[in-house]
Amino acid sequence: MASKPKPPQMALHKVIMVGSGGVGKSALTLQFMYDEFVEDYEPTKADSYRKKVVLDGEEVQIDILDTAGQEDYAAIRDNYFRSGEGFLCVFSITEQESFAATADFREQILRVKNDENIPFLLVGNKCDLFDKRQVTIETATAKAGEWNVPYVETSAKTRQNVDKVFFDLMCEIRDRKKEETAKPDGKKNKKTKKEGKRKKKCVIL
Amino acid sequence: MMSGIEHCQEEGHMEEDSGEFPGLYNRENDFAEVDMEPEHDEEEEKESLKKKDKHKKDKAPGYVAFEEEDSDEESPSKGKRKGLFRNRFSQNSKRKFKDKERDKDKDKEKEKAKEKEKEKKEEKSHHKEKEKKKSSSLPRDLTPDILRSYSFKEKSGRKREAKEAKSPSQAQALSADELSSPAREPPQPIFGIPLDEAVERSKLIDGIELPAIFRDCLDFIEERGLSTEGIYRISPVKSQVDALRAAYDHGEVVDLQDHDPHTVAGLLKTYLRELPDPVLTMELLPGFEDASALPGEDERIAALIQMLYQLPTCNRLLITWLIQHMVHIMDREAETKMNLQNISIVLSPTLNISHRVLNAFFSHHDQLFGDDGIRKVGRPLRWESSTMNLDDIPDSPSSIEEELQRQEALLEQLHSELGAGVEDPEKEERLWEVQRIITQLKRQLKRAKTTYASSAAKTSTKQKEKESKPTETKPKEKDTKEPETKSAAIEKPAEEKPAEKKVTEKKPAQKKPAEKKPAEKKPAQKKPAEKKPAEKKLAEKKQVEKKSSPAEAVKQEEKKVEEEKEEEKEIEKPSDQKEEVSIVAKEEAEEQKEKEEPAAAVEAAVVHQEEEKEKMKEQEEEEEDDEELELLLEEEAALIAEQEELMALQTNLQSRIEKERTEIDQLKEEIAEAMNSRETASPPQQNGMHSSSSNSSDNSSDSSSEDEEELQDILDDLVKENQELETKNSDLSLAIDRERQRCIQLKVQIRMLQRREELGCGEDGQTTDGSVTRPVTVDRETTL
Repeated sequence: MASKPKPPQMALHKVIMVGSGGVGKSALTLQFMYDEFVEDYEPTKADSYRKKVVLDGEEVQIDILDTAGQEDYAAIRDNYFRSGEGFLCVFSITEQESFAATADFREQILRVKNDENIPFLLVGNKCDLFDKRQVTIETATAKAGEWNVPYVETSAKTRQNVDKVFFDLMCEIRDRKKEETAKPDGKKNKKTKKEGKRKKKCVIL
Repeated sequence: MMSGIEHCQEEGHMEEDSGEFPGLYNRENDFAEVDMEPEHDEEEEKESLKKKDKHKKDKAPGYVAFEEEDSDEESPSKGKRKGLFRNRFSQNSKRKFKDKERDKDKDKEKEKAKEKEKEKKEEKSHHKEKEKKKSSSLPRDLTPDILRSYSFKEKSGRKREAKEAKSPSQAQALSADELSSPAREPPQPIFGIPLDEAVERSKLIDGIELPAIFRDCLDFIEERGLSTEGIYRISPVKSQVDALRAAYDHGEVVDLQDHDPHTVAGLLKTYLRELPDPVLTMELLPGFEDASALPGEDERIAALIQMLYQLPTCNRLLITWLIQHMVHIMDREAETKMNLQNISIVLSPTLNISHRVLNAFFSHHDQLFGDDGIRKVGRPLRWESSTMNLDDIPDSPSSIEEELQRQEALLEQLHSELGAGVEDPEKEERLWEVQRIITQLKRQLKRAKTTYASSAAKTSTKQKEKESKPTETKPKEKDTKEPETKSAAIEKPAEEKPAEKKVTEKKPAQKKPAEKKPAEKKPAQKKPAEKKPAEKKLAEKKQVEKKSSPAEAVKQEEKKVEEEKEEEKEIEKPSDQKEEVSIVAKEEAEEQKEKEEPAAAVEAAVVHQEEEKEKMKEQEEEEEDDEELELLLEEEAALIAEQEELMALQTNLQSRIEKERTEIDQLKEEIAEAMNSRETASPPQQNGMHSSSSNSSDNSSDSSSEDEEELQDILDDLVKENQELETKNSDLSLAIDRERQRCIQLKVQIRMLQRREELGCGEDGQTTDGSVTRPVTVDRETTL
């Protein structure tokens, strides 16, 4: 076999960071991953990280994919979106446009995942720059309510709520997975199972 | 349905027609074979039928399955055994057929039944045309069979598919892998396609025109199988070979590491055996036969070489590497028990090359294949373990970048595959993995560069004999850390430009010889780069870099560029500092300018410093082309030494600026005194000043105006004196600077010599190289 039988693995949750350019997706990710705050602005094409964390006493792994905010990389993005299990949709509270763009991102994600209830968090970053605030908490919360998702304000610089958003999302993902295994309505799971059955039938033939 | 029937009839016709086709001697052969091996032929026919239509005659399903298994056994491998050309041919088309079928299956998933049928029809008829030529017994029972097949298939297309996936007759290709997802068909099979296509599909990023599977197998056996007894001879476990084969056909990245050498050898043999055209090509095979039959050894070699050069590049490369590989195995006959004869027995049917030709190849392999060595694949790293593991990541910037390139290529490939709409969780998983590796590589690269820069700084602090602003060096380093190589490369010329301009303004003559230099040096310095003696004491981190540059000709180019980039970075650091120095000086100069007078002198000093900087850069540029790392190290040390000297010079200059400042103050005082004296002479000073310029006889008396003139004269004299002093000053300071520079150069040379002595000899070549450069620079300066 080409792919070796892997040892029983701990749960792995795949999180994808989305949002316009420069809102601090990478900063949040790096702060979460390595406790570092990167000031220099270096556009991301795509980066991926893996970390072991303890989620409610259970050791799990989180895969974080940090995507490009720029539209130029939209094509690549879709490939990742498909395998993402949860999304952090980030905007900067100091930039109205980035907030407006979150709607597009959400739409894109829903299009690819085809699932209204995909674990999703709306994240208003740069909340340390409150004096430059352009997006009020109320508007953001309203938007989040409209989508039926939580809204959290973060600061990658001060690390405020950084862990929270990742852990909250992981919890959502985990709960979602539990649901799916409980009543196998998940598209993919079901599919593979069906195929497995069909295969067996064929053996009889 | 109608269309199906029509089609079948068409097919029937075609089959009949084929009987009338001229020149189908193959058919006769087939018929003859039918007589001899009727069972086999029937199987073959059935197989092809099944493939065409996925359909069996009026047979019970159970029997069908049985048949399939049978036909598997006879399929390509058996065919091979039977004979050369004709079987090649039929295999070939059979294989094509399989491919087509795979495509078909794919389509099936996407399209509706009707469309499917149409397509199949087309393909079928297409196939028929080919089939006509080789298979004779097809016509019988065709029509009803096909009819049934259609109805059957429409009902149970899915079932059939899965069944076929099960049946090993599906070209051994279907493995457990595939079984787990029967719907997935290889998007781009590797087995059984022409060599050049396989190369196109699976060429590795080093650009060598060989398919990945071949190189994987070769690498593996070279590494692990050279002491395996009976390698290539002992039969592998077929299921394992099949699994691997399927993996390759699926375009997966295959890891052979856990496999048995025999399995890998079997895989390679399978691949070679299934090449539609033998390695030496049908066309040229007779030529090779003739050539190897020539009596004279020299003649034979010459003819064979000539024949080899008629082969397409990938074929020639493949046979070359293969023969070399086999020679390696024969060289270790004691362990492998594989001698020329054994190898020939094994290879001959696989490659479809006669013993005579193989014999000739092996006995003259030095002359025939000596020049192109097997190169190991620079394989992209895998990240099997789910946790962080940075151990595998190389730590020298150049090797990281190399790895990055590999990974990026892989990523791009994955993206394009996934972007094409293939849904493949495994590939998606892989995508994340590759992305993760890339991210880590990038981080590592940054880090490596940082440590590189800071360790360079450390050595410089160690070597420091004079205390020269270590605090100032630190923040500068940080700046150099940040930019990646690219930006470093860009930054450098940008920085250079203004400085260069200044020099050209001031001393256009100086630039010319300096620029000629590097060009001349290039060829001379490239030579020593090749030999690379080990030199441990000199900064270990750089050794890693050295390690990473093996004699891989292909990569050497890339490496060169990388090393140059790094050099540039290195250079950037001191020059940054230098610039800072000059900026400090400049700032001071500006302050001075406000105070007017000796500014010129300071400016001269600044200019001079810039010249120094420029010179340094030129020097560096001269050596920039030099790949020799030892030289680089020396250069670095020299630069550090020079930098220290220059720092000392800077403090010196600053003290002089202070001195001059006090001088200015004195002069100012003098002026003030003069003014005062004038003021006392003529109380209405301001009026007097005015009148002296405008209307002298208006307000002031004659005496006072005389006084004024006198004072004016004194002032003029003073100014003149001042100017003279200034020029003298600047001349002197220039002279001093020149001397100083020479001193610096000498000191640096002395230090370098000391260093070299410390390190011991062994690099005499470079020693001379280095010392040649420096005196020349000194000369140039003296001529200034």
